[in-house]
Amino acid sequence: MTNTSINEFKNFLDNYALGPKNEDIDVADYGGNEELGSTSIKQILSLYGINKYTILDFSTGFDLRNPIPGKKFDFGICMDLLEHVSNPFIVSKNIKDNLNKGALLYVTVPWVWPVHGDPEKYFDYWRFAPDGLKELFNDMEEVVMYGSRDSYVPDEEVPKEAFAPDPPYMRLIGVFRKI
Amino acid sequence: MTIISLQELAAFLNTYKVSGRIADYGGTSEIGARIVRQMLGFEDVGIKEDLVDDMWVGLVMGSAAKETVPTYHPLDYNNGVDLLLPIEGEPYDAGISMDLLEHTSQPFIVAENISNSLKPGALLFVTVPFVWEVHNYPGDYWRFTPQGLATLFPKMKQRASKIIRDQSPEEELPRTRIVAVFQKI
Repeated sequence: MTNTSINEFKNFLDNYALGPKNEDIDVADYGGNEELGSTSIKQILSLYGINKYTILDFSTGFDLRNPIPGKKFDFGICMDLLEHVSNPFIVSKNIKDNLNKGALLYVTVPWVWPVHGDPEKYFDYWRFAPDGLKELFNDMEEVVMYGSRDSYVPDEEVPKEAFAPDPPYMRLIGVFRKI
Repeated sequence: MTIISLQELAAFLNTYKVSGRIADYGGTSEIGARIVRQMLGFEDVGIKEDLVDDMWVGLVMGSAAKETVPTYHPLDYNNGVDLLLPIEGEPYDAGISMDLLEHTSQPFIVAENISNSLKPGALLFVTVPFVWEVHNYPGDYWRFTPQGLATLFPKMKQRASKIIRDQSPEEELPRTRIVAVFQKI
């Protein structure tokens, strides 16, 4: 998660109503991780009066490759997760099935970004063009989709094996509604 | 298809010396298909970029004509093959899939169909973009890291994989592609 992605998320919350009353909204953060920025997301949500926040991730005991047990959610966040799953078709379906009808899903994926990941925990498999992200959520309503240039510049030179283009790096942001 | 991807194909053909029936999955562009077909006919093949009357031309050169030329089979929508369905007919001795997989909505299915259409031991030469502007809209879906590409071919062993920079028009992204060789187990 970067400063740009956090600002983009705030912009999204400023522009889209998640439901009649924010305090009632049950939020799922798919692939969220306390060590990788979810604390910031939780804080931002609380500024909007949203306090029901659940992380569904390996780090909290959920394997998103399997159907997600338990309750369904009113709003989903899926930030910079799908490039790290070996089969994004399966994970995107499990996420969609875990949302209540009418729920919005806020998705970010990298478009131009160095290869990254933690070889002991997760790999980096994919980049997504708009057509690809639409395909993954093709049975949800596409609310909006836009690109975002990130202000992130690596502190150190990116290792050669990351095959990085020069910054600026770019993300794709999509908002979908469960129908 | 770019001159650099064709040069990579030449390097593949010179290293692995494929023979028999060669499938070109998504072999669609007339110029590209003609060049690939020509390349199959030579020993120690190379390719050179040239401009003739302001038209880009890829010149195929080789040290000698092959005694037995592999047969070339383009498998694409344009010649009636839907790669989303199992590929019918006798399995192939080797395959080429250049800049195809980013254009399919279901890369896992297409990659499996490709795998299944090859003989055990057959080599597959694959190129896909990693950083490239969106092209051929509509129908440009994905970019692949080396790990992603390998994940699409679980029935094949990866023999080689690398990322290379390609020529980029100034106004476009710095183009980068993955070139990999897989072998059917």
